[in-house]
Amino acid sequence: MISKPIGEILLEKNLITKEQLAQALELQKETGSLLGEILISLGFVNPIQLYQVITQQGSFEYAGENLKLLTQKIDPELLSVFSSQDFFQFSFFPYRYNQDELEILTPNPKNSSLQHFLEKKFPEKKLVFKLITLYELDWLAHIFFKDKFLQEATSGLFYRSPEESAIRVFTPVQWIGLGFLCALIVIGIFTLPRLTVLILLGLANLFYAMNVIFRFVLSSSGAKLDATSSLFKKNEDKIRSGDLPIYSILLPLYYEPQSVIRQLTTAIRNLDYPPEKLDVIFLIEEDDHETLIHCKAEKPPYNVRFVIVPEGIPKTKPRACNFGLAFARGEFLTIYDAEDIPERDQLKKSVAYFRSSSPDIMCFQNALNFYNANQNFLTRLFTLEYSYWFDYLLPGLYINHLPIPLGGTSNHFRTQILRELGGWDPYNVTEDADLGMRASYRGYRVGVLPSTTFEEANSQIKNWIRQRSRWLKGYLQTFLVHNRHPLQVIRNSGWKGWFTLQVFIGGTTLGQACSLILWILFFIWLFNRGEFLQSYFSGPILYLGVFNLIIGNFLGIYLSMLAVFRRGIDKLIFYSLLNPLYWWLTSIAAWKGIFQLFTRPFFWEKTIHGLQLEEKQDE
Amino acid sequence: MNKKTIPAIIFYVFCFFLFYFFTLLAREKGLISSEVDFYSNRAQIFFSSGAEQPKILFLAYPFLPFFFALIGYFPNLIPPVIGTFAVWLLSKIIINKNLPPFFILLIISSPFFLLSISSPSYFLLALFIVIVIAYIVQYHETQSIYFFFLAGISLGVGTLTHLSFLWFCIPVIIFQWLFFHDSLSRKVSLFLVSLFPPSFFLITILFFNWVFSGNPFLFLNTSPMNLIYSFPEFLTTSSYNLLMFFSKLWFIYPFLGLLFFQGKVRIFWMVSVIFLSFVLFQNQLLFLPISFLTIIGLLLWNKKSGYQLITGIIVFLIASGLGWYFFLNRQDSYFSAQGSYQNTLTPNQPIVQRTTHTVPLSFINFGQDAYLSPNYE
Repeated sequence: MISKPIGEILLEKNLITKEQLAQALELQKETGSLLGEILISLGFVNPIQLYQVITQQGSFEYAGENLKLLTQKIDPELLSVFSSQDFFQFSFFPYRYNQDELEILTPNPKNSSLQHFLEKKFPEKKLVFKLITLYELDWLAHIFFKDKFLQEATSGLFYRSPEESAIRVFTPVQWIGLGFLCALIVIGIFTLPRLTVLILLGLANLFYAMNVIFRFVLSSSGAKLDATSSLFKKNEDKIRSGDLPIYSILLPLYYEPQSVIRQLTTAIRNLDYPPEKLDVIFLIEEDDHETLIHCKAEKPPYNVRFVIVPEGIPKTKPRACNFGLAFARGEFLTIYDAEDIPERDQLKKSVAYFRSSSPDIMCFQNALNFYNANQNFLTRLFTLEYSYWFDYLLPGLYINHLPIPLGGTSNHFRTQILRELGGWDPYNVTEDADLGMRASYRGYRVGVLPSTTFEEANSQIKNWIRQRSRWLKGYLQTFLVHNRHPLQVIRNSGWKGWFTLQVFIGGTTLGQACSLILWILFFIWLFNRGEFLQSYFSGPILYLGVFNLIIGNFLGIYLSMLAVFRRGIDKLIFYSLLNPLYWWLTSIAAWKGIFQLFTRPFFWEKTIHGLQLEEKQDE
Repeated sequence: MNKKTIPAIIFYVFCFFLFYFFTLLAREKGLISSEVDFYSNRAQIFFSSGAEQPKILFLAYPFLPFFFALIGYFPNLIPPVIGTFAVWLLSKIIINKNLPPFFILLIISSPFFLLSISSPSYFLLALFIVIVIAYIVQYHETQSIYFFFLAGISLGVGTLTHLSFLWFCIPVIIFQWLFFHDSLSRKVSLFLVSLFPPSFFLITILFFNWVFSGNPFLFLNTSPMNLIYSFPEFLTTSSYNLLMFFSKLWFIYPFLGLLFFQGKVRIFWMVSVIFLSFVLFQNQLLFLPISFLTIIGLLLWNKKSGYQLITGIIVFLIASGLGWYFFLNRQDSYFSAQGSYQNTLTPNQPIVQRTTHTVPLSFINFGQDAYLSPNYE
């Protein structure tokens, strides 16, 4: 007997209209996805309605009607045969088995890769599929694997590779080294004060000069990328909708206002990617009922799942992401922040780039920029900095085959490699930068994607310093973690990789901290020009200092000017002249970060989102 | 290390020695500009001045030739250092523009190129002008910000070669305004971004002059180029210097300009070259056939056509050969270290007299020009 097509049955039951069916069939032609999945993703039917119809159709039985009973019937012995990652990769949950049959719960019984996987594992058993929705699948995984996932998310990296975890800020050797250095400085100041100060000034200037030169080299290569990006462009059009894989999006949320969630769900709906192939996971902390209520109120599309991250320490974004990673189904995965608005075609672009790049590229980093650049003085300067960082420095690192510290959001990963690397370090407050470096030292590369995600620039100085001090503290954590075995770093990524770690990761925080001191000394010299300072600034130290002052400032201003010019944000060109003011602020944040490294290393200074939206509402 | 790095280093070392050899030859014939002697002298003073070093360094204008003098130190080593630097810069452009690398050999084999490197400030000024335009044109051709970035850096560094470079900002603006049809706001942005590097470096020069002397304009009066830069009070002097500037520019102007530009930019360049030929070289008819042959050689050059390629090379080589012939066999005022104008002056005449002239000028000379070697003072 040939059963009726599912579309017709749904029509007969008045669950969908003819127009809706026609629209779904049109999409099916394009993407090749299952009609049911398309109907659900478009919100025309809900999964339970659909599965009940399929059950009536007689092909498969829907098993999710009584979840409690279902849970009791699941065979725990059977669960141990699989890895928990298999359940999400192939979208199934093992139910029970006997001598002849293996019963499997899945939202998609026609999934050939699932059938192939199971047949390989149980060649002699007949496979019996029962229907279950994706939400129920999550629920079951949560029930059976919550503790395991949580343990993996919190201490997986530490157990597997303790040397790569920031759970210990300083190793004993690092403590000894630091103590020795401090003692040397103190003794030097009391015994040979002039020489000690000269050496310190010389080193600070030398380090800063190296930073300036390194950034100049990176920027000049980074500026080339638009000339060489034609290498990629040809691949962008090759991807057809039917070839697009499932793409997971992790969205860690914590005390997000309603307006931010609204903006987020709109951004998700606007993505140019087949919705049935999107696997969106809202990661909500267990104690954050407010955000959960906001999320529910926004009625996000059916491709959005809520995963509740259990209470625990450290309560950080990477821990939530690691927990969410366990639930991800996609071949590729990305992370967005709550306030992000990615360019519509970003995911398609990412797939095209992954398909055309070598397998050692484990991640593509998008450019980040701000949609509220013109909100106030701070956001303008922040935009200048971001444009320079993401449009020049990161592409420069990429072109020169150097390790790239990932930016906080819009990192597009190959999910399998991300799992292999152990996800993010939950104890590192710039887990993204750390992951980029770790990937590099394990032989993977990070690429840059010519697409932009727009974020909300921090518009309040206090909030900005909080965020910036966390970043700079995290850079120091990363610097310390990867300097535990410098020889290993050199072996794995060469001298260039090691140098990048020192100058770009360590140098960013330490250089910015030095900057304030050097500026103060400059002003003292300028207004006083007394004998005292002149004796400290002579010969090479003076020349280095002047080089830093002139060339460092010139390049900093000019490159940020060029960055906004390239992006067509012409209004900000004048503001780049005021960059030094912003660098002083950064320096203050650097000192706060250094202080916190010793006092509260794992403390995650939450950035408040939605300030701009609130301001708009007030208006 | 890149596979091409070692051959490139060998090539630059070869260039260095070639320029060194030529400098010795030119000096023997009395054809070298005394500007190198002046810078060498400055460098020697710098290295022996102890605590005064910063002052000398920060008050030295133009800085870039002085910087090369710090590297070259000896008078005969400064031209090779500058020449090798120029070859390195020009090779970058030739590679970026996918031109045949053979071009660089043609450039360095030209006596005009070889001779002009002994006049550091003018040579670097002309070099940076050509480079800035080449990069700006390339930016507009490719829309790659990389070339705009390089143009900006070159504009900034160019300010350190010669104060006349600032005048060059005006043609840059006109050039961009005329040839590139963006919106008005974009043109203004382009103008601002282009103007930043030279302004920054100029302000830096003014700043250090102010810090060290209390007078931000001190460098106008104390540098080796003192009287050249006495504008606008001394209009005669400054107009004289503008022409001097163009006359020196001529040494590499047609070569590089025609090499790097195509289409309407090349036509613009051609017109300006012909115009300058008539204005500046009426007394130097000898130079005209050589320069026109050079221009025709470059215009005929087309790497896609074998016939044109060979014709171009032949014409170019004839031009270069003629140049060499005159250089080696004639003590013409064009090549002479003591140009016709300088010959009218005696070393004992006051500086002002020697530079604020009333006699008709022959603008083409490699002599003492308007600056003075300390030996003359």
